[in-house]
Amino acid sequence: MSAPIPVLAGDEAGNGLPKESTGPDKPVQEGAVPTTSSLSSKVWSLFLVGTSFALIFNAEYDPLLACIGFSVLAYVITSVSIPILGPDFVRVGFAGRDLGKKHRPLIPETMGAVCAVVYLTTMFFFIPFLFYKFLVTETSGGGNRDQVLDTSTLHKGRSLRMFPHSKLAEFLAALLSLFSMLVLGVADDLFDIRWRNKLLLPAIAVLPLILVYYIDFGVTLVAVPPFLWKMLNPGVESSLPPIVDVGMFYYIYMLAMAIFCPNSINILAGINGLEAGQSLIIAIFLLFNDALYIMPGRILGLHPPPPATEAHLLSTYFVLPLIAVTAALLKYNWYPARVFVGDTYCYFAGMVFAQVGILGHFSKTLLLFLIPQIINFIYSAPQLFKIVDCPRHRLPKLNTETGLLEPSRVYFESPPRGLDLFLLTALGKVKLLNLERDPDTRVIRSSSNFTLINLVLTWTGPLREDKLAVVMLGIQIGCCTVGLIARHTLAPAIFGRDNL
Amino acid sequence: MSAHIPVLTGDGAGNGLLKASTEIEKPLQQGVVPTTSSIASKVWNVFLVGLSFALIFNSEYDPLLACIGFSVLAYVITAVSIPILGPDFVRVGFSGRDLGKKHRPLIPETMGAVCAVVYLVTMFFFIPFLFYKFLVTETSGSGNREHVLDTSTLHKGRSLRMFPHSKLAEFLAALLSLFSMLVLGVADDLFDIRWRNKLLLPAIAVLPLILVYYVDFGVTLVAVPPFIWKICNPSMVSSVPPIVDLGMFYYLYMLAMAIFCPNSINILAGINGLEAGQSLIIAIFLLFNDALYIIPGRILGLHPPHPATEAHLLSTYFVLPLIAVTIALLKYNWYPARVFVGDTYCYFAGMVFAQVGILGHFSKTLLLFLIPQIVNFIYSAPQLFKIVDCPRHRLPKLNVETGLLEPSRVYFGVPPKGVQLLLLTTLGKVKLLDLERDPDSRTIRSSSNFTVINLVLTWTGPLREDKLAVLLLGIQAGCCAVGLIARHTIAPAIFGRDNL
Repeated sequence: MSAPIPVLAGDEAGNGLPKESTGPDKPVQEGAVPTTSSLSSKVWSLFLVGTSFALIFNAEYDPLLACIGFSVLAYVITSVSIPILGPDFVRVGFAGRDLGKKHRPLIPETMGAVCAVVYLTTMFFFIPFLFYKFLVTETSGGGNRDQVLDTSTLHKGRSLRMFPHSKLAEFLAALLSLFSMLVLGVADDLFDIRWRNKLLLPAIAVLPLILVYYIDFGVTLVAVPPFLWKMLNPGVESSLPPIVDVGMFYYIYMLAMAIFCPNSINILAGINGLEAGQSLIIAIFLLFNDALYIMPGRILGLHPPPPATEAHLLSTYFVLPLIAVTAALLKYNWYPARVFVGDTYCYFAGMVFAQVGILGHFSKTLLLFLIPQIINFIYSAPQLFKIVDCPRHRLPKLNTETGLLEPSRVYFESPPRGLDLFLLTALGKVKLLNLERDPDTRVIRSSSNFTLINLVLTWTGPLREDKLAVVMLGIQIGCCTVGLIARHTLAPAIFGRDNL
Repeated sequence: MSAHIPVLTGDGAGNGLLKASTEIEKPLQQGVVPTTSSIASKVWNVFLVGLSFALIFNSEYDPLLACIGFSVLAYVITAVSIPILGPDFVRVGFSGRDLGKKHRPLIPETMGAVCAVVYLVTMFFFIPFLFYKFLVTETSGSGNREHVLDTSTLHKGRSLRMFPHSKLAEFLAALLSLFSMLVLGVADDLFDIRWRNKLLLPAIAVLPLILVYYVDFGVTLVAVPPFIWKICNPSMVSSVPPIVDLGMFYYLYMLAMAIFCPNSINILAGINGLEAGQSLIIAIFLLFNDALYIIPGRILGLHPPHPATEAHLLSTYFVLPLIAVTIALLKYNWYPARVFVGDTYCYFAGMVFAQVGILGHFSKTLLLFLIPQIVNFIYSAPQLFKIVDCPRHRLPKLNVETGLLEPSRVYFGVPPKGVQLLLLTTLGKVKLLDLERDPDSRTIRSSSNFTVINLVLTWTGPLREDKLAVLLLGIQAGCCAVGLIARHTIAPAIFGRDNL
């Protein structure tokens, strides 16, 4: 194509490495995303589609199997769609340059939108299967014909008795918040919204969910470890359960979760495959955790299932399709990336996590899985809040000779003083920063940037992009594993019980 | 700005007149959308905001007053946002050239997205007010502390008894379908989706609503006029009500409504202010119709309200904010247009209409209001389905000397034959087409294009764009008025009763 493609400017929290500012570019290489697939991959896709239909229309009308089926279908649709839509995305301006490669190719961006749309459409079709047993067993066909029908009956026909409308309302509210995040994410990738506004918008997106929570659960009680409880209430009898009603603050906490999750994934970003990869790992561990609750119930055949099982089933319904579309996205986003995921993906995945945590009442467990993101956020804070100078881009630098990534640095023109200096020296001493000092005056001239990615590079030395990604994801897996184990060993020890 | 702005290509059904193809454009004129407002308008806005808060937080906790308040607020926010966001929209490529003006200015497009987002966010905040009396009177503070709480209680706290979850589910499903249409509309304005795909997507968007309808109402009965009933069932006892159960077909009918409404508004388009104007008129008449059901109930103070009243209240809650954001949009879209509304607006408004018709059970009434759109669609069909040649663009042509719009024509390279010829001659005879014949051979050389806009121009002669718009909107208002009167006079005569 000969049309110039405006390349959206981005900050360093965007995908890929720093994007160039708007300026005319050379024509895009059309071949960046392969558009033809081999015969074997077509056969494989066809097989997967067949499997998915077998699962969806399973003989026991089990929603979980149907969900697995839909997820497989979502995987196939996403992995087929991404290469097809790639050139269209570039055509309309959703493109970015991968500055981690010497030749800085222009590749499609905001591919997370494809994932999100496939995910949401899949959910639309899944809803009837989720409520199948209520739809089928309660309907006996037709209305009452023997009675004299007046118009009021026409307007208010029979309601399906016992239909769990509250569950439907929960599900719909969750989908609504995901749609809002999709719109927000695309708007951000289009217009490059300032981060001050970006923080607020997830809070608005999650409002329907918070309302539904208030209506359906209204539980604002929080378990506290017994020893804390005793410290706060010294005269109280020890038979009272160690629970505190935090009231309003529980809702503020949920809003904070909704704001934090999407943004935290967004800032631990910049390496091919990192955003999608970390989300995939978190989602898989959420699935492991859910399985711990669901499996015993299904194997033992409990009816009705324990309440915690229901909450975790709901979580599974949201997490499984995310795993599917993310796996498809990673096929094209892993090093060397052929597409970028966009802020859209980070917001979307983050919101899925936030809401399964809210609806499933396990947001503390979720936070355990998000430890690398939390650490990165806290570690980044001095630069984000301008206590220390913050350069325009903080992503690792490409060394064009070696082809390896090196930590990027912030250079201090005037020697740092006061709090600045204190922070830098303290962190430098414990090897949490790499400081460069003037050999004579010992004044700090530069420091590695305050991000987890740079920090890892200062420990390991220059690495190739994919190896660095593997290290980062390995850290994520490690933290998630520790978190999962802690949740079901240490936490019960501290709190006195596990709800498994 | 020196960045190149790709201008999206469009077909003749797009907004504004022909859009230029993708080319390098000269830098845009920044001043096209005024960004400063006078003191008087600022004072007026502040007053409106104050009024809206007074209505929202009204002392009777009346959801209807709150809805009016939120609509006023939505009007102010939209009216303020459009000029602010205009340059951003152009920057990212959402712009089009108004070819109905001699100098063909480049103006922002897809402004319907702003309307839709303000509308949806307004609805998010409105939901608690809609259910206020259920939220407040049923909640009496925190849960039971005396019982020994085990973790199962933590996960399943109290449910608000008597909370109309089905109503909430309806509302959320409706919002979900509107969000889907917003995403679809923006995707269409971005990528210029082919109309074959455009037809299918509203059907997917409306799926949650259809499911909720099945769950909550499941009514697939349709009233038929008694005389038809007697014809079809000659031997039936006349005391049996004249109602037919359409079963599955009722759902297909709803899907068809969802596909038809957005698209029909989209093709009766192309003149400044026409898309938003026709939607405004339809919405106002829907409001009139709703008022006929609501006001008697409120004046008579019926409790519980008549079932039809509830359905029409729900319709009002969706229509009022649409009126508000559309008026704000029209401020900038009326001749001479400073912004274009985009396919996004047409899809969004059309979907609002489709779903109030579905949820309120008055889709036949809605179709009466959409008569100009239906007529335009049927009239356009020969060209849409290629029975008659269809040129690339069918919008009226600008005569640059007079500054007036004239009907655009389709020229026949080969003299028309067969069905084409029959159609052309018949319509030409009844003055539903303007045919140009060769003076000697009497073969048809050209014809006015098959759209209502062109047809009106052939009757009136060349008109200035705004006068043409006023005329078309006058036709809309006239048809709607006739439709409303017919609904409540003729229809009851035919069906034997009115549900008023």
